[in-house]
Amino acid sequence: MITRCNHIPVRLLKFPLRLEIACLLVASLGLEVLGCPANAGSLKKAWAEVDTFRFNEAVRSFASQEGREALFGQAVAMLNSQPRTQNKIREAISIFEKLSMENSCDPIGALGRYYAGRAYQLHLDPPEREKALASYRSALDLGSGLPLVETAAVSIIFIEVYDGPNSGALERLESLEPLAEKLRTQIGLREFHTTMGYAYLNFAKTDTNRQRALTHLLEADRLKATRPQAEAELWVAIGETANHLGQRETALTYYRKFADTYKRDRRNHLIRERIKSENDGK
Amino acid sequence: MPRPLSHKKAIHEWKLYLFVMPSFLMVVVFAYFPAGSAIFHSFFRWGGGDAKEFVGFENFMAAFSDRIFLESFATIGILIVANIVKMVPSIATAVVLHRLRCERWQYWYRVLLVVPMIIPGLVTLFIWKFFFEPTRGVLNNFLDATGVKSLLVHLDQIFGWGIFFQGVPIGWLSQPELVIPSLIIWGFPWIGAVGVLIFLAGLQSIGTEVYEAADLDGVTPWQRFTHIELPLIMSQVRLMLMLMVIGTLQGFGLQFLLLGENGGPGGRGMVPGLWMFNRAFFAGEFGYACALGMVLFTCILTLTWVNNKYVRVEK
Amino acid sequence: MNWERVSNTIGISLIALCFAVSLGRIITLRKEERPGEEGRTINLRIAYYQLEGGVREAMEAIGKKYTDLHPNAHITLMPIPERIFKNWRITQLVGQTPPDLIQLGSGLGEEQLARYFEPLGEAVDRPNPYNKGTPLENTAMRETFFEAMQSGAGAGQIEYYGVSASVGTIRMFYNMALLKEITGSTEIPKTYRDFIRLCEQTRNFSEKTGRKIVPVGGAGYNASILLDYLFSGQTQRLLQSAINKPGQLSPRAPANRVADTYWKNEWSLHSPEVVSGIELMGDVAKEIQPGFAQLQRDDAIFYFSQGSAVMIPSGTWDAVSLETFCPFPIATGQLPLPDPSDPVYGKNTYGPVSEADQGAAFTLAVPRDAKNPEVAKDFLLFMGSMGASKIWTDTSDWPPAIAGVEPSPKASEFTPKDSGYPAGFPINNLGADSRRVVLNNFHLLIGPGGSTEAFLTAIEPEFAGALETDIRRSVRTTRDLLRRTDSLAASLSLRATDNSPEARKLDLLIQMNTATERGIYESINALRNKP
Repeated sequence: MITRCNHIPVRLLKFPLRLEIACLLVASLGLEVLGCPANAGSLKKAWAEVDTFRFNEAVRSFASQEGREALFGQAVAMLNSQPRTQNKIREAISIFEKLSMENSCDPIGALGRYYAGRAYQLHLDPPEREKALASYRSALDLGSGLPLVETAAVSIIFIEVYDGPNSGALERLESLEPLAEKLRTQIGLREFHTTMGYAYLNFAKTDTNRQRALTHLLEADRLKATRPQAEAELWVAIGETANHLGQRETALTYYRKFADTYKRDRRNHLIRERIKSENDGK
Repeated sequence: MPRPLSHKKAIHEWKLYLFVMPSFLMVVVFAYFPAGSAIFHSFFRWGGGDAKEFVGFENFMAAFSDRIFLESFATIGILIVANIVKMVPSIATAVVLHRLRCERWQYWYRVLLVVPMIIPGLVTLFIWKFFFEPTRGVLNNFLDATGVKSLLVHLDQIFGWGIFFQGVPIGWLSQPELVIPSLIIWGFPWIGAVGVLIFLAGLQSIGTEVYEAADLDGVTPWQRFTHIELPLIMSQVRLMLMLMVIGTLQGFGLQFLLLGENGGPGGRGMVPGLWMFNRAFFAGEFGYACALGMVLFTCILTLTWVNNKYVRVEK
Repeated sequence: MNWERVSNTIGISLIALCFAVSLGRIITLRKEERPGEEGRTINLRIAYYQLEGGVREAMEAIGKKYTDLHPNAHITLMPIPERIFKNWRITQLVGQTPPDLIQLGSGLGEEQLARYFEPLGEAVDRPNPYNKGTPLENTAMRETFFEAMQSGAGAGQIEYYGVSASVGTIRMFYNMALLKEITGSTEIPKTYRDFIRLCEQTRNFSEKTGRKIVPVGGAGYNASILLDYLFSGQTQRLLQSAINKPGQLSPRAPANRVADTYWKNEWSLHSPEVVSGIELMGDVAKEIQPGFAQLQRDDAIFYFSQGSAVMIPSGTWDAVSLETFCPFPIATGQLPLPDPSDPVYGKNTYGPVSEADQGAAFTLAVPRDAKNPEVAKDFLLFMGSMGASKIWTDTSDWPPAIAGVEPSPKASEFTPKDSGYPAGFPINNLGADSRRVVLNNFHLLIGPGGSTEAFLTAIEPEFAGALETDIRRSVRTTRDLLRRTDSLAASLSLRATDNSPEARKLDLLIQMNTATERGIYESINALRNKP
């Protein structure tokens, strides 16, 4: 069977593209014989364009392909195609929603639901907060096991807690604790605990709140941050919070880990002094 | 009177258009395309890179409530008035040159006037910046040497200006009260070569019979200037006035070089062009800067129209 | 021969000659630049804009060493003035005619970095092969750099593009001849009080001799370096007591947290630390040459080189140029920050500001359309090795970018000192608008009859509003960054399989995005809850 490109938006078609499609059609014949997916190479090329921020080119490349991945890629690239307009974002959202309605069990469906939330939250101006939350929550409900989709929990914390009045922020934060139960991946859980920990620190009024922060941050550290800056930040926050709460051993452990690992961090000297003063006080 | 070109002939002689093409393309690429691009981008939130977001008239609404932008027009108003006064030395020089009897000397004076034009404008600006330098600058050294500085300090003590102090070099560009005077002093004695040459051309086009008639009537040199020369070069004066207003409204190089991107102390030297530049290159708001440019363009267009329509030259 | 006939052909002959020469040059260049065939010389072209003294010589020395190792390589240096470099670079990149290596910086955004440059890939996570036999032979390349290659990192720091040759620090440069003449000694100030004493001595000397000499030379550029540093020292403790909450200790003061706490009145422009910082800036600014704010960097260097100032604060990148231009010996020292024992300014400071994670200088990267990308990448690995770094510092007297490389005797003073504390916040570096408010009123602090009170009274009505504009702008800019990496995350997410490079990159990107999103929402929260 010859793959047909039947959903290319007419307005995106230009002569060189038609030529390219013709070539692809010819190429797909050969690939079909070899048993390869007809448009795998072109999809790879289109994703490579996304990787290098060539979003307008990527929209055209995806539009010349068929299938759910191509449609998803087209919408993802459309979020950043220039010039950015609200119509393009809305068009992308409708594609994401369509993809997740068609099949929410495959990665594209789950990612579609996550990206619909992302578009409502971050790409539309002004954002549509409630729709973003609804998309994120339903993305988490799918239990896709995709780390990126699980970061929906992080965005929910930001929208619910930070983008609201400070009064009641702690209560809203506490109400989000059960989100952890919906997370299955190490990355999703780590980011959730990191965000909860920092949020508790930011809105803390009492040491009880700070203790909650410390619990989350320690859990985040157990799940291991792989980005050096994130790890340094986490260790300093744990050390500082534990120190504030009078938990000397924990503070010293994390201060030492930080001081020994991140020698070229501006805080290194200060932390070394804290270790010294803690040891002197022993 | 030339006959209108027929449509058929215009097409038949198509090769002639090729001669116009290079200039036409140059103008389109280097003049109209940037202008068109600025109009396009004024409707976007744009940081100068690839990413841009359509925001409709938001940038224009912001421009009309931008206090600094609006206030900068007051500074421009003062500078335009000052520049009108600064046209007088050019007219006077042109008249003096025109009245020189020896043609050879007139020629050399014209050459001397043109020679500084080959010096890049930036160099002139740097030289002037050095003039204003507080410790080693020519201006302060001159005022110190001539005793004018002591006089200014004395006057300051009487009137309580709070600008000139004994033992403290005058901060021409660091005292807000002196910023606009410095911008006005710049270019002293304000004899612009182009202006002089344009006025001189106007004066030289006055027929000798007019002067002969005036001589017969026994007019004085002053009367000759006010009743003959000035009225007959009003076309040139109007042209220079228009160019000066446009130049002053658009320009910001002088202010930027002398005072920096924020318009100097108290922001006193802030002009619309400089604010546009500030927003684009220091705040990264290129789209907004384009909108400011569009507002400025509209102002210039309106002033030019007013000038053409209402500033009449009766000869 | 008819002269008129000859003169008529001069113009056309000149044009024809120029055309022929240009054509010949292009043909030879094409031949030279043909990518590496067996046995053919590979011409590696390197374009850069840092034309300060020492760079060219150092790059020539590194190039020579590289060509000794790879006889088929030839290095061509292309120095381009910074004023036109940005435009030149984009023209070459868009026109697909870039040289093999281009210097980063000078306004190159991360969009352009991702679009036009080749990532170094996993090479940065592996030991640098050119470090074999050195103490760094088992260390991942990224970790061998003082600043962990941050200056060459792209969006989300998941790809690294550039390799740096040096790091830049800020120092005070002294005219030793003048210092000796004024103080009778060649000892440079060690403390803030020594510095103030030297300023007094200079003023007295100038008065006594009638020579127009100022203690500190400098333009707006240099003064800003010095004054920001002094103010940041005075806000070190304020940052901890009023801006950071328990558990928070950031390496740099985040502008959104500074603004948030200001709006909530947790500190004000009349807080003792701020007043002290302003007074310190005022005290020092009065020692800088009059009218400095309106001077350019070159004016200041000229002024200093004429022997009109005893000292000048500047970046170490100016060191070699100063040595070249100045007809007198120069010494360098740390900027004079009051230490905790200072009777007036000591109580607000922890001590010297750490220079750890100092930004790199002279970072090169390989464009995607480079003619010899593999050789160019190999050259970058060589440039980032201990051996090349040693050549760099010894030849240029600039500090090396690689930790563990012994700097040249002159550069040793410029190596980042990491035994310091995190800086507080500088009042005029929180954003373009708050900076404008501060600078536009600076004359009220340092002008005749100026005072801290007059300055603060003038900036206070506008400061909160300007901060708000700055924070809103920063939210928009950071959101744009996040929007772009959103698309990248989708791409990685679909391709990530267990332990694949894409999975690793996705993990890094997610961590980066969480941190960025937190920054945005902290700002949104501050703006939303602004009283």
